[in-house]
Amino acid sequence: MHKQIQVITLLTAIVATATAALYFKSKAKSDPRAGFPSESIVSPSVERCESQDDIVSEIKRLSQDTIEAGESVRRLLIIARISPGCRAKTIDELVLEMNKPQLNSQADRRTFFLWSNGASVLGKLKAVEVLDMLINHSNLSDGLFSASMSQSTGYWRNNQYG
Amino acid sequence: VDFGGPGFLQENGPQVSFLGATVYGLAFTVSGSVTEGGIGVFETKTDLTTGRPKQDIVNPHGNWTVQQWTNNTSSFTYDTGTTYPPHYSPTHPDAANEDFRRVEGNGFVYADVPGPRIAVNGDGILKSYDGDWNFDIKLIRGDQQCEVRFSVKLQLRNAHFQAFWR
Repeated sequence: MHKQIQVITLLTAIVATATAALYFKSKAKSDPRAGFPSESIVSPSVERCESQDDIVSEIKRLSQDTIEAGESVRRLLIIARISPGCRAKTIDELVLEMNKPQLNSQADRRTFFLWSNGASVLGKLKAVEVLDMLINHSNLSDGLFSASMSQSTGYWRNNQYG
Repeated sequence: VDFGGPGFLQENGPQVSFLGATVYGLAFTVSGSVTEGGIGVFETKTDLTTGRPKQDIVNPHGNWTVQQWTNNTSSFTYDTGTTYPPHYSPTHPDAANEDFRRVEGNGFVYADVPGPRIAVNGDGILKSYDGDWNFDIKLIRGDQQCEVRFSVKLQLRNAHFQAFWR
């Protein structure tokens, strides 16, 4: 009799443990905030990028009318391709720098170059998540036009997003 | 290069153009052909990642490259009172992008209408403009090349737009 009670107690404990495990696992799937430490629920947009400081300093150089700005475009593309987190961080920082009110790219040449170069990076990264911002500013220009569209910061739309 | 007549995509000559943007521009048409080798590349802008002209490939088997180099000095006045004194934009690659050109085998044609935009966000409507533009159009393969150079003076005064070229 005593042995039977021990077996029943052991079985009850196993069933209770299994039920609890199943409950917490299903809760973790439905509610990301309850995730287990071993199951990363961090979205790419907040995933840490080790090159964060480099991204910020390279973006600062995009508003220059020099070959260094082109170098920064190249470096940003390299950094953004390291990981999804770095891509997201590059895009976030570019949007932070570019998406400001009352932009005037004719009066402020730095704004024109920032937008020309920044839009080029976003285009090469095919950053569809910022298309609305790019479309809203697609008429930023230096006041001139030619059929190369090189005077327009909206050049990205013709050949980079397909 | 044609500055008059029916043109490609639009009539040539000074006008208010809606081709790509609303501008006061001098519309011209550039056309050419080679006897063999095919048109391969248009150099449309500076490739920021290399600092060299962007190679816009129109035919991977073509040997010839179309270049258009341009620079300009421009000054603007808008109806809001905003004025920009003469500003020099240095020489840069400027051949037509895909919306403004046609390439068929050994021949090509493209339209251009350089000039100031009529409305600019934040600045208002263009009231007066003075621009001196220089163009150098080349068809190149190795050490072979054909070249056309011309200069254009654009002027807007009292809603009257004029263009002079030579």
